[in-house]
Amino acid sequence: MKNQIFSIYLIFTYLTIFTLSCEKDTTADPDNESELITTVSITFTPSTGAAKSFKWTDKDGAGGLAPVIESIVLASNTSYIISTTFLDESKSPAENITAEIQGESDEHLICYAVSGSVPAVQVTDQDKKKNPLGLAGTLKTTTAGNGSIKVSLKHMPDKKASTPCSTGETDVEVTFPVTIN
Amino acid sequence: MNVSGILSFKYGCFLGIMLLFSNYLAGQEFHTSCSLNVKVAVVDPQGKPLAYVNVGVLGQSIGGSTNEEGILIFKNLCKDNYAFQFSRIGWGQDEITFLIEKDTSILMVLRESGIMLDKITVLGYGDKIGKTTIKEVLDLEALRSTMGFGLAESLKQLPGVQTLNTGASISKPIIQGLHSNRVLILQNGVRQEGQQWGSEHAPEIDPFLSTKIQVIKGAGSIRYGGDALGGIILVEPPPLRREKGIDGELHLQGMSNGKLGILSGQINGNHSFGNLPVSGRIQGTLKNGGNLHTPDYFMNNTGVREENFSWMLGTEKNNLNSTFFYSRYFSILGILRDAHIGNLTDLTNAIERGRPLSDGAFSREIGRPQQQILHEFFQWKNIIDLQHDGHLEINLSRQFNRRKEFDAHRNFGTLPTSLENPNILFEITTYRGEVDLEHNWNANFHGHIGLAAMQQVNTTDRGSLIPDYSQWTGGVYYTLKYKKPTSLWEIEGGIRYDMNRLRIDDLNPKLQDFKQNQFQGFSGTLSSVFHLSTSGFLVFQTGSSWRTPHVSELFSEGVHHGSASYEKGNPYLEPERAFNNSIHFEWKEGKFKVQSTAYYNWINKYIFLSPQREAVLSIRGAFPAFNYNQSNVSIAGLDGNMTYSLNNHWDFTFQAAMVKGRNVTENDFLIYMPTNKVQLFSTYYLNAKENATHSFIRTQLTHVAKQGRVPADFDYALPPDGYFRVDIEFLTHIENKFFPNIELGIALNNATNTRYREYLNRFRYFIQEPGRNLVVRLRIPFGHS
Repeated sequence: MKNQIFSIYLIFTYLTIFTLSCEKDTTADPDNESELITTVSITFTPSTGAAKSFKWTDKDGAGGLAPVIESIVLASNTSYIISTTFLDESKSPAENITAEIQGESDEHLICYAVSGSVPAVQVTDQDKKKNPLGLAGTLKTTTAGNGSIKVSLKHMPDKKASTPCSTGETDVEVTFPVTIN
Repeated sequence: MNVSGILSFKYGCFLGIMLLFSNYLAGQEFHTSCSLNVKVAVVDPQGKPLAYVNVGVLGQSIGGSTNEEGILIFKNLCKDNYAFQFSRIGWGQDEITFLIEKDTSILMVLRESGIMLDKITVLGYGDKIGKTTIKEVLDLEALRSTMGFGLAESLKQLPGVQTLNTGASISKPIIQGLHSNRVLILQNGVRQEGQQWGSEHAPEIDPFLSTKIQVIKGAGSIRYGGDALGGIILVEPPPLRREKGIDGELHLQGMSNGKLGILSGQINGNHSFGNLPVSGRIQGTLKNGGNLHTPDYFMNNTGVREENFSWMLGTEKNNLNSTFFYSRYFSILGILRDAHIGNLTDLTNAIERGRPLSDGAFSREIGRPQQQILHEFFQWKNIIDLQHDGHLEINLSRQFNRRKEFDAHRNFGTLPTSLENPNILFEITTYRGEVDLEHNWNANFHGHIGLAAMQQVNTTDRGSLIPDYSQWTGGVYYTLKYKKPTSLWEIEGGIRYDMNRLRIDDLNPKLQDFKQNQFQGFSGTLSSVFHLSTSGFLVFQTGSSWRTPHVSELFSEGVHHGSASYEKGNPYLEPERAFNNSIHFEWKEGKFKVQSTAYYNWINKYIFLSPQREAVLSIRGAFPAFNYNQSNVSIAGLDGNMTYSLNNHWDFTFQAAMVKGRNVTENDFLIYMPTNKVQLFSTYYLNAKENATHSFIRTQLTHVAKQGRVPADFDYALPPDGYFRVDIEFLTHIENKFFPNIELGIALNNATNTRYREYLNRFRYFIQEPGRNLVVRLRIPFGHS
């Protein structure tokens, strides 16, 4: 009899020990966000003259060090071709993520919101499904003045919606101050 | 037989069998003075102890209720005839007379002649938790009708409990306006240790393993911890079977909303090996639900899976009762896809839209974002009966909790379909040891002395929300209760000292000074009961408790994607201290029953998230920043209910609760305080309600007001409008030859398919509350002796 009781206790104890699992996760991948965007670079190419690039950079993510924001300086009454690139500069060498956005173009949308004296940006490129993408565009300045351009990268937007830029999840949203001389 | 029993059944409600043991204390000599002890044990026909049976002596003001073990002890009786009265709410009453001439033990077997427990709440008596501890017990019928919705939703039926929700699947209890780390949840007497700090981290307990869920506050609660600023929730499995045989029950539930199905069952057995009785139980629950729908649309990715399992094994020999208990809770919870947002612009867009982009569709698939939670609990509990001196309880336990959270965030590309790499992974392992000695000094003084120690290791294997840490805590306490049978007063006081050593690993190099932390402090309570008459009493309670800041409050740092906010810990936080004061009133006379609690709690250095003027700028845009800060706050409230039993068929209950929270330092309201709520329950019994196989139809009308007490400029959207909701429930019992008492419940929740939003749902910005839900449930008990 005593043995019977003892074996029941033993079975339940083993059952417990085997089901109590506590293995430590050994894969060293503390953040899992292995691919991030630290930098937005926007290049303005005038019809005549040299192209100029401006960067918005935050290498250490939210919090910590403040981002470094370059001011965009443009000439008045000039047509520009815009090209926007996204970089991960936390790695060395820096990784260009623009190509990957291009690869998943139907799932992304780059939106430009302007304020002040800055004229609207016309998106010129298209995604795989012939909907706007926004990595390329044009802008034609008129009078001199100040303002800003807000560049957003939307993930999984509804490009058929009336305002596609207010759908989807925002992966990037940066604002550049702009001076038009 | 030295004791002669004169049986006199007056009403015949009870079918009692008397078993008298004249040798309660061997070697006791004949007493001539008034020092005789009578131990009354009450059990049901299956041999399970019956608690809350009131036992009194006719013509004398002595007596009380049986405790959890079904036992009540009368002390210092003289040699005389005693007419013992037995009564239980809903069961009627009866009496029986004995000639007591030496120490005696009486075993009373009671057969159920009516319903199990009273309708809404029972303010309990009992040995372990006295009347001086304010205690709200969830009635078994109410518990069974809500178990399928989870622990917090069951508790919500008590007048003083509300819930903090994250969508439709995550629900946490709020007691007196407080939640998370300020509310302790105990499983079979052991503190649940998971990641309870997070407002979207639901308690990891299967309600189906329990038949008793109660909320306690006051002197008796100090035994469980000095840091329960809001209150303590006790979740207790039923006691093991004590007589030979097998019994069990099977629960089957189906819900139309989410096409949710639940299968739960348990088997209890008892067998004697030689002269050693062994009792055991195996219990398990499976739950599977898909996308829930509101009156207008489906909520994508709101499915749920649960697989829970538990067993208990115990024996009782001489004075020792030893039990092993193991439970394993595993759940997968889908989080509404539309609530996972990138930044403040997305949040503003989502709030403006106020609903998901598409109407969605039904699916059982659970994608990202999702949570996977595992909680394992193992306990070895020993109770040594020290006869009339009291009990010694030794409790050893181990808990392991693993929380995985999968984000829906990727900067580009498709989301990984596999769920191998969670974005957040916490693992926490806790060992606890507790010793409690219950000591009866004499007939009037009754005390508990005890100590508790805990060792805990938390690792954050993925994500960087909180650092790894280890923690050691120790506590000692003493409680003393004074209760003189002839006095109208009962008094209980308790004092407790706790210390906590907290070591932070892998800390940000800038915070190296905060690697080692130590906190200590005292907590204490004083409660007194004043009996107004035999039908009513008042409980006055005052006390102070304190809580160490949690690691998340000290060191968390990062973006919270549910609320698009940047939360930053504050390593300079100090422990918060509460001063709790309350008056509880209870009255029962004829057809009326009233209970009510008024409280005023002051908390010094209350820790909360305070909005910062400067937003945090990141490549994803600006995030509103919140820092953990401390203020002095006050929380006052009033809750209660009133029942009027018109006749054998109709019962009406009115229940109401209100809470007001003020941030005194900043002269503003506190955020996320429960809204004013009134409820009316009308129950119509098709047959007499005392009938064991009763049937009823209950209509529950709930009105929740719009929250007007909100802090200025704190929230992203205004509180939603108040709402009115109707729930209808039908319950009946079916008798057949094989299964004598099948319980069938059919409920229509949100019967009018009302569109509404709950202020205390963190996803109220994005979605409505679920629409109409038809719930059909069966409980099939079975047994074999």
